[in-house]
Amino acid sequence: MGSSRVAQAQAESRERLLTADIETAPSVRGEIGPETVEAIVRERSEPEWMAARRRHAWQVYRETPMPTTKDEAWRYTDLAKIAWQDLRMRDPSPPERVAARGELPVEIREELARRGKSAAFAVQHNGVQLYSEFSDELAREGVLFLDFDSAVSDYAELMQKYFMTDAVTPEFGKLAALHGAFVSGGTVLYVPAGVEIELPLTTFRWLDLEGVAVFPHTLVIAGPESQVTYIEECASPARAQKGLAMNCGVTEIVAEEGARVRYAIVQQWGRHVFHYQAARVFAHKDAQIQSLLVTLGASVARSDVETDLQAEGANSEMLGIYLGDSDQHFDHYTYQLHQAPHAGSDLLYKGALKDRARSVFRGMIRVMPGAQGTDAYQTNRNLILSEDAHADSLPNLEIEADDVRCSHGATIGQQDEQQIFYLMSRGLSREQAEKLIVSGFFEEVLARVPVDWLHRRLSDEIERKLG
Amino acid sequence: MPYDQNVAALNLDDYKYGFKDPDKYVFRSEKGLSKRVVEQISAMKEEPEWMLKFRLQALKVYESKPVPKWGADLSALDMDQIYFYVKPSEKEGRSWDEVPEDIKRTFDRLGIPEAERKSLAGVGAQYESEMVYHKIKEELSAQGVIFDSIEDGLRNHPDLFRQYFATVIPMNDNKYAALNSAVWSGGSFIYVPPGVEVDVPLQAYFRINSENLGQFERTLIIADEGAKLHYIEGCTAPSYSTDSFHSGVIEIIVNRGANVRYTTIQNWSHNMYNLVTQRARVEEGARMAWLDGNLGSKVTMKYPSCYLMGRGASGEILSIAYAGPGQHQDAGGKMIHVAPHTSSEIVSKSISKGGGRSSYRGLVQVQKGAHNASSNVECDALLLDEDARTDTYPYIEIDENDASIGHEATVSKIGDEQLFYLMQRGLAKEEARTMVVRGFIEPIAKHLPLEYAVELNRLVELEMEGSVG
Repeated sequence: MGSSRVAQAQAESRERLLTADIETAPSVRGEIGPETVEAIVRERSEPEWMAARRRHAWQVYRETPMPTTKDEAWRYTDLAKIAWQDLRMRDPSPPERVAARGELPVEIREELARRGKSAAFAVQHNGVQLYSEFSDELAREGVLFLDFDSAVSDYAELMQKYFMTDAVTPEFGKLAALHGAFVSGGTVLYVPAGVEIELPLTTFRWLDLEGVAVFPHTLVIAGPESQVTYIEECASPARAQKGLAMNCGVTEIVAEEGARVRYAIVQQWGRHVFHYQAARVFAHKDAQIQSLLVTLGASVARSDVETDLQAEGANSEMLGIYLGDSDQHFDHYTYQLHQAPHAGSDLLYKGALKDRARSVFRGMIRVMPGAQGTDAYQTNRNLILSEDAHADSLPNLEIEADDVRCSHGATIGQQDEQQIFYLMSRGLSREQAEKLIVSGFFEEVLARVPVDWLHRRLSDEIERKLG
Repeated sequence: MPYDQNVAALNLDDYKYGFKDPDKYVFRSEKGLSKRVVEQISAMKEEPEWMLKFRLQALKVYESKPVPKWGADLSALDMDQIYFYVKPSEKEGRSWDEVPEDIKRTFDRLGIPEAERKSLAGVGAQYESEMVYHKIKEELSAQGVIFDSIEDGLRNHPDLFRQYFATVIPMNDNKYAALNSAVWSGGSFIYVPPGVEVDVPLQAYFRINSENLGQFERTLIIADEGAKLHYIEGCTAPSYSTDSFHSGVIEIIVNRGANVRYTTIQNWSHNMYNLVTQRARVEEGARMAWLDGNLGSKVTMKYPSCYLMGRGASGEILSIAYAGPGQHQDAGGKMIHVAPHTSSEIVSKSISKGGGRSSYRGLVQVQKGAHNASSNVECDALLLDEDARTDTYPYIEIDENDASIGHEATVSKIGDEQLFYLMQRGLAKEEARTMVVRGFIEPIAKHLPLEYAVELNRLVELEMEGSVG
């Protein structure tokens, strides 16, 4: 019977989800609770307004039903199969800050050596800011590049205005609410009006915990007519780690009138990590945003990437790259929300899947009534490199204005045999030919990455992962 | 925008099939759904025990399933107000003379007997819950082609019926398939023997006359090896201020090398909830084509599908939807590739206007083992004014690495350049707009039988009248 075969196939592929080789951590169920929230407030000596934010987020978390595969948004990723609720919600032995670059752990120093020039950079280890460098020149111009805790204690006004108020609120979803209650560090970047920073600012995040969840927060506020590029890199040690860890991050970007913001997040966590990331851009009039989401690491990675085009002339370019192998499971959700006339958005997500990897792309272009003159595009392309890999693509449109140019396209396919044949006739081995074609496939996205060293590094990482 | 006036104007003035006849019936069940109603339907039809059991089990499945939260808004559909079974006459006619006078008059007004005389291989007509007429050309029945009401299929061909009934759409497939399985009545039973090609279409016509009626036709089509068939269904109803409900289940078996085309033009009145499950099982080297036209109804949720079960099977869905004021067309299709070297194509065109909403919802799935599958989906939406809405919700699920899958969708309005060009050629603005819309639907309209193509054009003209603002 046809439909039962379908049901069976679906059940099997769901079964296959999230069965990566993660061992369940010793259960500390009960850490997710108001006592832990209060303990964090006490340990960090947080001001009352911040405590109130955490308590509110906790309330929202409690009232939000746990997403299940019956919810359309979580249809392909079953949270119940990941033991994240057994994790500790804070690190019992956080690392110590260091005073100089040379005092950083050697494996972090090795990682940093592979990166190019930045205007400023910070290193965060399991959510704690170990070290940062920041030029006097940027300070003179009024740029702030702070670790989250300093921002809460020293810039209360700024934080009260922007922290989880506009771009991502706790109501965004269950895991965003969890983040709001247990937020454990991160980066705050403020660029005053008219300041243009050529070189990128970067945060390097290092995660080698087991049995613990971390909740890094990123807040970027780009003042009117400012320009900034911010790169966030997430990595773990090369050694295999078995005990589950969770990264539950939220990124908020507020681009004021005419601001130009480029944001990249490169996720290369170890395979012991369950990664959740909500990233939302709030774009004012004529703001120009580019976001790049690179998904290479973690065993299960779910990202919600949204652009809220609030005012006329705003423009958002949304880029994504994912390359999965072994049993990796990647679930990407994107949202292009056009609330105002004459705004544009252009999305390109490309992914390739090896071994038994699985990916989901679900994109939505939403054009609200009155958003005339909208230009919105969405493209998702998938390369399936092995018999057991699986890709799903759900590019959606909801259009309520008629004077619009909207289109979307999705493809899922394999490598072109003719191209392979051609390259082999030029003396390449089949393996080399295949690698070259996949690299070329990603180049369409990478060519749009404005930072040279990041472009090169991503090319290298992709090549390395292709083996 | 005076929204309500628009709805009223469209319903009462423009809808050509909105006339109604006095309610006459030989039996009508009580309002609402119950075990008793299901038992009555089965008893009226003098069914075998297994069918009654099947119905009662389906009723339980129906009751256990929640109303779907996705798709169109069904919250206003009140099942307690619906008559689930109305029997209009004592027996089914084999000639139009045998059909009761007033019912015949209705079908006369709809042009059915005339259509039959002109160009059809056979005609069936359903009025309320029962088929009142079924006739097939003698040369076809001499070749072994069966074209009966579904009830006669069960009565006269019990083995064939039981072999295939509910095998393509099991009762627990979805809430409304379960409902249909419990209260089905009317619809066609068609069998085309191996190698027989029915070159001209068979047609069934569905009419709901009473207010608050639920119509649950059940059609089972079996095209045996190498057979060929084209089946057309058309649907209309009078306009009432309260809602009516139509929920059909259509199962098609396309055996090895067979070729079936199924065309629906639903032009239900704008008070109809139309929730239909249509599915074909397509075997080796066979081909199934759905042409699905959704022009009427208040709410339609309908996704014809092909399960490509045999090597080299192919499927096609052409879907056309028009959503005017107060209408939501949630239509699309599903292609399930189970066997290797299967191919599919979906082309969807929708037009929305005046607060109307048309949604494309589709699934392309390539299962493990379906090597070298290919599928292409194209969705185009045309928005005629700023109050219209269109959505596209494609699902693409691929479990094979050698599949070739594409999906493209575009949304547009009528371009000023297009209008300018046509007006330069001497057309009035309204004519120019109508011409652009006609051009937009042409790729699908050309697959329609002539009288339906004419009807579609007439509807487009009607809807475009006064649309220049």
